[in-house]
Amino acid sequence: MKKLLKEPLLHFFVLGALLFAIYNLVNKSTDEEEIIVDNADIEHMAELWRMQWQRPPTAEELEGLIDKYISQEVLYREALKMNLDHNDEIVKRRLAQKMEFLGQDLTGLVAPASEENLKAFFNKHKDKYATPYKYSLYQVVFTSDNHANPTKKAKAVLKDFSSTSPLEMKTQGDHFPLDFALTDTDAFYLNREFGEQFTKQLETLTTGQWVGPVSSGFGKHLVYIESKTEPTTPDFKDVKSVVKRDYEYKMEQESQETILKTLKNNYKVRISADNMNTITSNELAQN
Amino acid sequence: MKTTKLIPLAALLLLFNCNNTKKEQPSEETTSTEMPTEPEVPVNPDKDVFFGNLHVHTSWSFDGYINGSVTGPDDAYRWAQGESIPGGGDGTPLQIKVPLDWYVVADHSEFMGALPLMADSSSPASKHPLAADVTGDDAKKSFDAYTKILDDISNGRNDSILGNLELQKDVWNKIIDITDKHNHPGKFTTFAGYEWTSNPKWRNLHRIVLFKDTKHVAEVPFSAIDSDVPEKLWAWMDKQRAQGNELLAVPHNGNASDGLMFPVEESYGGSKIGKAYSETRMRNEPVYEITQIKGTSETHPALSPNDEFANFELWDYTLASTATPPKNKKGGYIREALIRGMQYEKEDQGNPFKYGFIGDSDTHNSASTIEEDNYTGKFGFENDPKHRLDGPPGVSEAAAGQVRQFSTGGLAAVWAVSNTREKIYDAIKRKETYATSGPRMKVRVFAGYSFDKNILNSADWVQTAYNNGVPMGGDLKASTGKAPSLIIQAVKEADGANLDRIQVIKGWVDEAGEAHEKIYNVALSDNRIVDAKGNTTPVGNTVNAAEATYTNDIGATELKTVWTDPDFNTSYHAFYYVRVIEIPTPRWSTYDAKKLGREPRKDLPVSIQERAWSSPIWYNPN
Repeated sequence: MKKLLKEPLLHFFVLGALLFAIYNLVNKSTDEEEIIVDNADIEHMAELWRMQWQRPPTAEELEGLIDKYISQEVLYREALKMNLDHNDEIVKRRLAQKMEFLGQDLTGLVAPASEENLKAFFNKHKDKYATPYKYSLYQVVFTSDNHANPTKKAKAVLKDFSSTSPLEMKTQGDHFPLDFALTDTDAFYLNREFGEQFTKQLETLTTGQWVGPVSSGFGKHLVYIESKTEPTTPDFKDVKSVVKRDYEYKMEQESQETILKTLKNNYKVRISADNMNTITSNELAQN
Repeated sequence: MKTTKLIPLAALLLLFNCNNTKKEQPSEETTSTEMPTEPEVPVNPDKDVFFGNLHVHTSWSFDGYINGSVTGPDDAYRWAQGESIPGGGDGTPLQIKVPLDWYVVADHSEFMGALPLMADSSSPASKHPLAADVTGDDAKKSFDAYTKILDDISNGRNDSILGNLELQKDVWNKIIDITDKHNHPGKFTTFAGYEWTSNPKWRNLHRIVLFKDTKHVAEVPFSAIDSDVPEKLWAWMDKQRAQGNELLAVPHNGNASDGLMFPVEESYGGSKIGKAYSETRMRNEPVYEITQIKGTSETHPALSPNDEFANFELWDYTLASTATPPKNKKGGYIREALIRGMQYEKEDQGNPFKYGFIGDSDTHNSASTIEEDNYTGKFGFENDPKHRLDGPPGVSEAAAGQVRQFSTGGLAAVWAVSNTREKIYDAIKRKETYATSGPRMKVRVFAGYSFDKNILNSADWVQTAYNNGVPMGGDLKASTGKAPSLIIQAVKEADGANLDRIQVIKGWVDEAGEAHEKIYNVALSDNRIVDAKGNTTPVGNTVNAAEATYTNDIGATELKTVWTDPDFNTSYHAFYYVRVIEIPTPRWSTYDAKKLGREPRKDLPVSIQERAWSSPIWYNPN
């Protein structure tokens, strides 16, 4: 990569692209002292007039508009020659804004979300695409609606019935609108139905026996996990469209920051204010 | 003189070696998206409840953009699925604690998506006379520009640049693409929608318009600039339906309509209340948004003096910047309208206000922050607790008060057999929905004449209830003399607060055509009982104001009952809806005060009792 960056031919191309972009943003005219007013310009002036006065301009009014436009253009170019744009707050802000957009346009010129880039991104963020924990389980719950001490109750029931078959436990729990048997369910569903604290605890529970108490927002549960499937990473091709979406989103967010950071590195910033402590100014200068 | 070196910038771009998509903004071309193959969607014949929002704005709404939103529809859908997105304001990112099941970005159709383009010098919008003010950082200038744009909308004046038809079509197509990109049947559902923003003389008549699927949508939304008359919107909707585009509208904020939302004699559009008006309105608008950031419009203490819970998160203003309370409460709140609707029906005028309920958000910052302890305000600039409590910089004290009285907004809960566009849409259409003020408690209601008192103890009670009764939003058949019973079950939010009580709210019209309403406490936590007058003791309050905490030492995990109407008259029109009340929990402003190390303000409630409202079930003697 480093080597590639030193490649003059590459510099030439990128510089060319950049110049081309800038060229298109400035005057349509190549000649320093030539001012061209074309159809699009005139239409735009007429449109703005219509918005303001709710009618099209008369020929006389349009002539006035064009005249005003030319005067502005002449004054603008002379002002540039005299460097009047320097240290003007509004000009600064507008140009900075344009530069931000330019950065975005330019990044679009570089290679698109290629298979290779997407795969690399996918591999880097595998966790995000992993399937949730999957379970088949039984559960009963003891709520404070029915018990002064749900924890104590759950422990007592566990002690007395832990060796019974899973299905016999059903009658020991409270009558409550949560499923007793959950076959082929996953953490996504359990989070919705039982809440996150309950679902998180399942990850470390022993399987093949009644265990608990497990807490949820509803009460204390006893849980019998028949089977547990750890998260797995799906095939890239199955999640490619999602990866592409995430990749583009991430790049868009990160690139702006990185471009600015890199550009800032070209400048040595010194903050020389008397009434600021050194630490703050150093920190600001660093950022 | 400093000059920027170009080579480092260019070289830097190579480092990325990637396609950098443009910052999310409406662009001139639309892209096609590949739909991933979806697995079989599981179906539950007993139905599950799916929580979502259909009233969400982003920076693509003119007011969202001007007031500091830095995100678009794509971000909004990511947020609803649990991702973290940029927040604007003080820079705090936004992330929901528990993801939602479905979500609809419904930006204002007026100049939709045009304002973000003002900052893009390649777009004609950037040459707009207001572009410099809107994109600049002079707060006053951008607020004046906002007022000017709002004034255009309110007076039906189109802006030939921002409202340019081609631009608007592009933006709408873009919205549809983004919507499809995030739709995952069985997991997460999205719809194409927008807001029709009618506010004649600052009186709110807004509606969200929602399309059943993205294959059959209008070419471009019908906006308030086209017409601010609801009848005109419905006529357009009927025409859409004739072309095969299935859609519905959801009105909201009657509280800010000065009595215009549920008109008394004559509508704003000049219609007399009668059969034609009733049928047209109900054909297009099955549900009403009963609660949102700009307050709750179930009822007002002035309209329901005997309702001890009526004073909940009210926002008693019109949309005028003067922050004045509207004169007319009648015509602004749904309970009164539901009863009056039955009076019209008794007079053979049809019932124009036979609405089911949903709750919703109205966020203008992509994230419908419904969690009280995770509230980040309505607009981007409120993403800073100081601005929420003290008002945004430079606003009047009255306007700051309006911001403090914002609620965190609510949820739309929908009973459907699966989490898909078709099933959720159909459920809204048949009003099998309820509203919550934010929490995800589960509420089930059925009405019928032959329910067993102990039905809730049987394993298959839901099937029996469907077979022998009607669910929330339904119509009871005429009685042969028996009083109807309601099966009601409410379960607390999984990781939320306990429940205080279940109430049945009944409205009826007697022989003389007089309106009546009555509230029954039908299930109570902590073994409390109802006295002869129907009253009971308060549930208590565990809120610690200084710490912004509460405990579940009071209240119930689940409340349920089979309740038979003790005052039933077979010849009276009536409706029943259920209100489930939570124990007191800290209001968002109390959490914010804690964050800032302050005392909670004296002019705001320290705690609130969040709640759910089921869609009504109607009884018509004929």
